[in-house]
Amino acid sequence: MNDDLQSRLNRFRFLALVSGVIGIVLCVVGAFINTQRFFISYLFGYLFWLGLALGCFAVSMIHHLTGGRWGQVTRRFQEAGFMTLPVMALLFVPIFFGLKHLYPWAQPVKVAADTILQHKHAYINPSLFIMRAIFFFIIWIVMAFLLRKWSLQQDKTTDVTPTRRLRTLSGVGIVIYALTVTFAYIDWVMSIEADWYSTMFPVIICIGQILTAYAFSIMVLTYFSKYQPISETVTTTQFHHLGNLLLTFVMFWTYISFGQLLIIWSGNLPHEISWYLHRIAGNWKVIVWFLFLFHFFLPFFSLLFRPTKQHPRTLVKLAAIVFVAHMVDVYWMIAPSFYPTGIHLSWMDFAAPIGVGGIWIAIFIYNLKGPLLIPQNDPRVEYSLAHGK
Amino acid sequence: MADVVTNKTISPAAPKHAPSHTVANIKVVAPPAELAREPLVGNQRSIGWISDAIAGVAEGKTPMWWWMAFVPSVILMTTCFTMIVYLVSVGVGVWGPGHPVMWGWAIINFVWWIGIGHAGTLISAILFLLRQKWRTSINRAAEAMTIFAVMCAGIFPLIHIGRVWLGWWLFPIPNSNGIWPQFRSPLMWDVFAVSTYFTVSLLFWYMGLIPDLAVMRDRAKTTIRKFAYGLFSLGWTGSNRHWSNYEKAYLILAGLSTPLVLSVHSIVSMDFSVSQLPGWHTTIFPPYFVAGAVFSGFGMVLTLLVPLRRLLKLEDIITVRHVELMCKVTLATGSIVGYAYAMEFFIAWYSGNPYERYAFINRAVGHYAWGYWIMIGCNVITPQLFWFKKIRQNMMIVFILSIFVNIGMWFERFVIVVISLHRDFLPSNWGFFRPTWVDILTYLGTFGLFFTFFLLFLRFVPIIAIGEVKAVTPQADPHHPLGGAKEGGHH
Amino acid sequence: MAEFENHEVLVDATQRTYAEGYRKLDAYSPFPVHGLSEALGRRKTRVPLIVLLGGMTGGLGGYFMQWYAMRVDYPFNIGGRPLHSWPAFIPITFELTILCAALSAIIGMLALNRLPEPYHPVFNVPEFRRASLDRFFLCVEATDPKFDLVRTRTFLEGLRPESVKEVTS
Repeated sequence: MNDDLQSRLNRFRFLALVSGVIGIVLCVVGAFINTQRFFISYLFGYLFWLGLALGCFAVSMIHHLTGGRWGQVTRRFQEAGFMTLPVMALLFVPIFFGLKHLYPWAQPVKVAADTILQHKHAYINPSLFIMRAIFFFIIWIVMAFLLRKWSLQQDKTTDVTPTRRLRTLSGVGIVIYALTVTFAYIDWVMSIEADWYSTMFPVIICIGQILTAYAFSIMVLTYFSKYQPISETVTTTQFHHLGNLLLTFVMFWTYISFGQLLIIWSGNLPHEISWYLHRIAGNWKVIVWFLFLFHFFLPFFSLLFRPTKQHPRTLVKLAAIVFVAHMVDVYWMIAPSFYPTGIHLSWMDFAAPIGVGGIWIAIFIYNLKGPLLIPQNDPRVEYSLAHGK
Repeated sequence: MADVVTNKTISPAAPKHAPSHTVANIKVVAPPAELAREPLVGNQRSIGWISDAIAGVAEGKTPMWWWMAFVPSVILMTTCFTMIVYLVSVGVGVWGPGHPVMWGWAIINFVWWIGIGHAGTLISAILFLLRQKWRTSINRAAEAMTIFAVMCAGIFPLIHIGRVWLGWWLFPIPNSNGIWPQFRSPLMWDVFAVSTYFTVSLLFWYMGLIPDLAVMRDRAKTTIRKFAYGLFSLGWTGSNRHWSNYEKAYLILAGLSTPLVLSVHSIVSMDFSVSQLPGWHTTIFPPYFVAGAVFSGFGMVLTLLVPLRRLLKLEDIITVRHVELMCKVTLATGSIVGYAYAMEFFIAWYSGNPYERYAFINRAVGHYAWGYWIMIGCNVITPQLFWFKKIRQNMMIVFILSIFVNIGMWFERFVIVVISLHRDFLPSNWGFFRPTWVDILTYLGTFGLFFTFFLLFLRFVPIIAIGEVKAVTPQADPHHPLGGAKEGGHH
Repeated sequence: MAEFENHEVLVDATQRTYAEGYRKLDAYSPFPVHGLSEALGRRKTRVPLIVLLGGMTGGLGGYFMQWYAMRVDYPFNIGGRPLHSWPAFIPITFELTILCAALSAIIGMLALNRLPEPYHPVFNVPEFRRASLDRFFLCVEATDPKFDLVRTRTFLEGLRPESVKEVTS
């Protein structure tokens, strides 16, 4: 890493840290002004950035399994991304104290009035919620450490054992990722609406995480491609591949989101359709149009064309649009449950994502600075570099 | 940002093998043995050998085993047609469905066959877009399989309407009563999805065939063959103009087919999921059906190709690596299917809806529990064996497991259709389903139809894309460590 | 018409022929060879444009058909759903987009390649049979302003071909 980049990153990290701390301090202040409002905003801001970390986690495992040149230049970014998980686990702790502000099943009055909540109580109650969250974070952190450890080990040796281990871990790991994220997000997001359920919902969450991770990787890669050593390795082909992957996941997101809508809309059952009714009520419709345009329409039709994907400058704009659109999507999944008549913005809706995000980015940059930016000695990488894949 | 791209070749319209961007000072090393990719064509065969081996299958003398398979297939196919004639002349009452199980084997078989029909286009299209070169050895046969499977599938919705001569009411032609088809019904979506899928798969397959038919034309010895292959190869010369338009069109068709494959089985799943019946109405159905379809499709491809590579002596083209990769796809999609089963079960409980809960408990312990456990055994447990390399490399075991996959996926549809329907909301609406001999013979008959066409395809069409296999031999790839060294210069 | 043993010689020969000033050229190969279009100075193919137009026609037409049928021509209450049920119209719209785009892709490809074309003079060269198997050909057409039977032949012979043949029409 050259000095220019180094000093820029240091500056960046400082800025991120400062805005993170300011954001968090503002959130703490907000918590005293309006406690419930704080928890809603915090849950949104937190889950967006956690989703990015988990997305990086999944994408790096996908790369260990499938290979491909796009991963070789972005893997260290993904690793730096998922290595934020230990700190993200700490940042989850505040949510433990806000259960009764966020979840109907944690409010005895509501439980007493709702037979479905009583039925679910055996599974979803404060103590099991906390135990499961701790359990999921332990699994993620252990796997993240192993992925990182073996990946760095491979830098130092030409022996292929670390790569073989990474591949095995990723095969099992992707299954574990799907299962843990499923049950984690049933607890954390699906259960915000007392009676709502959808088998597609966890899939939408996973696809959204992976999509954000790809968008994020494209943004970081474009920035780094101006500097050594990435500038020597990166080619239009890698941007093209990453653009295709972004397109694929934009399509996936649209496909499953529309699939869920169509099935729930057709069934029109009271416990299911309420979720959508809350999310199109009043000026929430504006958000729906925003998501349609910027989470699907614009990126999808632009990415269909080859030149868009081969010019980092255009690609990075689309990636940024998708990134922001997904942030709005996460907000739209959470906030309408509390404000089912229309948008109800608070300054904390900005303070929370900036606070968590600032800290996230500071750790991300910190994680980038140790190891080489391009993984070394990966037997498949040299082969694929030479092979043009 | 212009400085990012300088010094780098901007890839020309090169979907299949982008030219290597020879980056400064990257040493070309062969990967260590255990991570090396096995060559896609075994034993370093030359491109002339490939033409001979593949085209030879369709040109040589008809082998004995072919007749031994063909005759029973034709007999079965005849049975199928007899049953259809019987059904049409007597009425749909000769089938098992009745109150309350109003959908029976017809829809099960339809979904089963169309699911099988998903692997072909998936292999062709998605693997093409992902530049997975291993597809070239299997895509042609898989595409043919798709088309024949979709034909078998298409029979059932067509004949289940009973008065088949009124089938055109399904098309968007305002008929004499001024009535339009009901576009809000998923059954109409099905009509469009399946016919689009059949048309596009056929075109995709035929288009891939054109250059190979030209090969057959140029190798043909008899006038009839020359004329026939000449007719269907449309005068293909292999000129650069032909290839460049062709490649672009093929790439686009692949791009169009990929979402199409996803949409077809999603729409099939909506036949069930847009209703309100517990066991049918669940949001995960579209991706879960797609994964199941790919799972069963790859199962069927394995069932067909594992014995074929042996019989046709194509082990150097359809290599163990191909079989292994297909096993891995089966494992991945089988795991998604297992995930979906688990989610359905969990959410049925989580929903707190007593009907949902009953529907799923009834699946596991009710009257038809045996069907449910066959499904679980074949679709959840069987593919998990593919984690082991030893199993993936043992052709006999792969063949047997692939048959389990086919059985399991038939039972999945049985579970969804029959078990969900036989217990309605009110106990007065409970009943059972028993297939009739017409049901059974029609289903068996479709195997005859499928295999008759498949065997004819083996005899008369190059079963492997000759041009594409040539392009993936090390000899044809100037960027491969093992090949292209002859001419030097290029890199 | 010159015959070559492999595609690298062909690309090289094509570049040299083009540099020599010949424009009415075509190269024949058993599999697509990359870099040939550039060597021949060809423009990009127009297939994508045709597909785009076809797909848009299919999509818009499909949605309009459903809207017209369900909303205007045959309004009918089904399960209380709105007459203009846009979510329910998406699947068919999507299918028709794909269908029309795919049909335009293949028809566009055939039309741009002027296929089917049962007769083409190059088939008169017996060696050309191997163009689909394992040989590579470069053909300079007689309509090229720079074409001269003797000089062109000599030039082609300087390109390391296996053989040079004259195509009769």
